[in-house]
Amino acid sequence: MKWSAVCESRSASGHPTRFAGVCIRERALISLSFGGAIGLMFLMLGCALPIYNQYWPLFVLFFYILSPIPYCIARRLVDDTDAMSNACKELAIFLTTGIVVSAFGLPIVFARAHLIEWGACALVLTGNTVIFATILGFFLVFGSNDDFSWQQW
Amino acid sequence: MAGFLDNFRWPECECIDWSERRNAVASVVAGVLFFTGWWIMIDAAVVYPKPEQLNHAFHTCGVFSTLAFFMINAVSNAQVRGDSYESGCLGRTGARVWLFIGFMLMFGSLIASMWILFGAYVTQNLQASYRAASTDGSPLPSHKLLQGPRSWPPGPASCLPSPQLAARKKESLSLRSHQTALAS
Repeated sequence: MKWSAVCESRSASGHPTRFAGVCIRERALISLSFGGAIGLMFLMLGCALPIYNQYWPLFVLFFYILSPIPYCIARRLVDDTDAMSNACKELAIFLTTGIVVSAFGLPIVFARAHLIEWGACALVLTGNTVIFATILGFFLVFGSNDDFSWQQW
Repeated sequence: MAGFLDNFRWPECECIDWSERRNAVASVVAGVLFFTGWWIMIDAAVVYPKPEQLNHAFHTCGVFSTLAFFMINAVSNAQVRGDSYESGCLGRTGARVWLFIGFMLMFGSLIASMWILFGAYVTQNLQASYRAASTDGSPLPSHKLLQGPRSWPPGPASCLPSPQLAARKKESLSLRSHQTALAS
């Protein structure tokens, strides 16, 4: 696969396609993947360090997987021209915010119930922040196409 | 004095166009508040698991608030005015009745939660200290003051008007101080 050919074909939309000789999208993909790895590292540190050794915080993975789903469904389901599309998108944003808040609330409730230590809770919350920033970055960089198709991957 | 804020304007912020994003920002704020509320209830239920500390019936306020939230958001302004080209399954009057019921549930659960706060927690602490102080001269253990509601619904003793309560408290305190003076 030639990266340069993929880059040039996208310049028609008006977005800059190259930065320091490498496509912005590929650079963004690499840095977002790095961010995701760092976030998961924090989560695993919060579980697997010998002083903590409690694997309860892994339940937030459920919220990580669930968080892009409402927005993706809303974008697939409705067009942009309809009046109902705004209501659907806003419901999706509401549910996504709820999932994010739940992912922050769950470690705090675990720590209050003395299932995990507060130090582990802090590590998991840091991992949460990084992962959700990564997911948001994915949507900002890769999501704002007019035709959202899977072929760009 | 009457219109001294008439010429007040918010400082202009030209950097972001808020009119396009108003709905998205409102959705985010609503999501944060709603789910924070539910997680606070979950946290309270986890930290105070016994029914004497947190009666499980208190969760109905949250459930009814959630139900009312979805009922109210299901109806758009256009349906209530009768403007929209599709009248929905209930029509204009039905939409108004639905909205009315939704608001009643919401305000009812808000009032119920205030009632629970004051009836089951704030006044029960005062009643607990009164009951413990009025037994014959026994010392008042400090942990009893920190207990949650002893019983719900509150019994007839909580209906005492406050001057009588204050008078009885004074009486029992003076009795106890007299006893400690005798003992020393």
